Amino acid sequence: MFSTSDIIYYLLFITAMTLSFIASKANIKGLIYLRVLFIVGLCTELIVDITDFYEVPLHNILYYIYIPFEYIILSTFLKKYVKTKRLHLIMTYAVFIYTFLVIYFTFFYYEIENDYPGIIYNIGCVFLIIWTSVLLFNLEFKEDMKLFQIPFFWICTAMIIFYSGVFLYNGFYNYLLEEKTELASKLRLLVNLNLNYLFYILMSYAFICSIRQKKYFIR
Amino acid sequence: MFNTPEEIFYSVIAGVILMIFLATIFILSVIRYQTKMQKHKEEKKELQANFSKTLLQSKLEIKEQTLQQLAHEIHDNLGQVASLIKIHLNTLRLDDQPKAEQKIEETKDLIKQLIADLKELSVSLNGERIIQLGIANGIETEVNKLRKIGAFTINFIQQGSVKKIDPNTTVILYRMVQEILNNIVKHSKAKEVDITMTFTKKILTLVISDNGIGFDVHNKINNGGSGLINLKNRAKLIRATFDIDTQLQKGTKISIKIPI
Repeated sequence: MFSTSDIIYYLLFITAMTLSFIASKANIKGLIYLRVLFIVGLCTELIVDITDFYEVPLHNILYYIYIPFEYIILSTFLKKYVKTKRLHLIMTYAVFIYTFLVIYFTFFYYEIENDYPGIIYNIGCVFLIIWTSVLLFNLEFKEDMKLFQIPFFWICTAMIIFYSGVFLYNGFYNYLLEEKTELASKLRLLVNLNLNYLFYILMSYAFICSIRQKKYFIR
Repeated sequence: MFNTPEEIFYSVIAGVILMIFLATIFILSVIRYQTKMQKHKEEKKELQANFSKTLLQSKLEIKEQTLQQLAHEIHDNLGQVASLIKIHLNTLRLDDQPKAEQKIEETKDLIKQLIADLKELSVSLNGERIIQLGIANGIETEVNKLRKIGAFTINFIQQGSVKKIDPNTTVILYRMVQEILNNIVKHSKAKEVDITMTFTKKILTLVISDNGIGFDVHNKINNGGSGLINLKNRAKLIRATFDIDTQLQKGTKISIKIPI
């Protein structure tokens, strides 16, 4: 049922999720959103793999729910770090615009059962890359700390690299799925999985940073 | 556009790598920017610490100078008048009534002078009083004091409508003026001193010039002229510019410009 790469993927996923529960709430604002995202993400992935194994055509429908959920949760998490009212407002409006686009593409563009919601994912990617970029440039931290010690820096780095990488791949995915299924799965294995590995490793490191910071303050 | 699956495969991989590369460059630029910002913050903090240190140092110097001035005033002026009063009273002979009355009148005058000098000294030493009076009146008091000495002619001209300036700035500026005038009295051998105070909308310009012997600024600073350095430091504290224009035997002109 699970290939070696899948096992590595789940191991990294579960490690990141476990670390998110050990991570310091004080050092990562809105940590609860990431924990929720990890739990829901893991459940979704497991259901997708199990339904695929039993050849139940459910995975696309699940992605139509999970991808918008992921964007809204991550956007809410990022909003915790916004200091200007204007950006906060823009991000709130973006959620509404995104929801509208999700509804449009889901009901009027895609065939839910057959199509992967690549455009919906990519719109979320663009928004998330913009928010993380703005927040990274405006990141403020104590003078006695270094940038590499800040958990939020690693979270943003993980998000920027992951969403930049999957952005291009997602654009092709639906086409490849229809025309060249074998190539699509080959690319998924190479691009998506590797980016996921990197994403969970960076997220895990962010959580480790937050734990280290806690120790530092206690000492 | 793409003929073979290999072409598609490598194109997608190349595209993804390019995207990741761009993302990495972006993150590196963020790191560079944040490092610069952090360095800038540290420098700013250091500057602030230095500024506070200089401020404290200047305050202590001002205090020390004020005490010195007080000692000089008591010794050279008040002490002399008090001694004179004592002499008058000691030599008072009551059996010679007309002379005694004359001496008592002279003593009364001396006591009046002593009280006036004490008041003047109190005004010039009290920072709070200077704040209440304002910089223009404070300088006027100093000018009047110097006129009494009569060592030189002193002119004080005010231009523009007087504006209220920050209390700390007022005290520091007043002490600077006091020091400059003291230096003129002590070293310049000037016959004429002009003080011009000009208020514009945003700047207060104070020019103090004399026709004395002048001095070599670089020489003075190199030979440990702490007075000049102190004046410059104080000017910095009140965000003022401090310029000295002087040549040997050609007098001295000091300009102070303070943003209001």
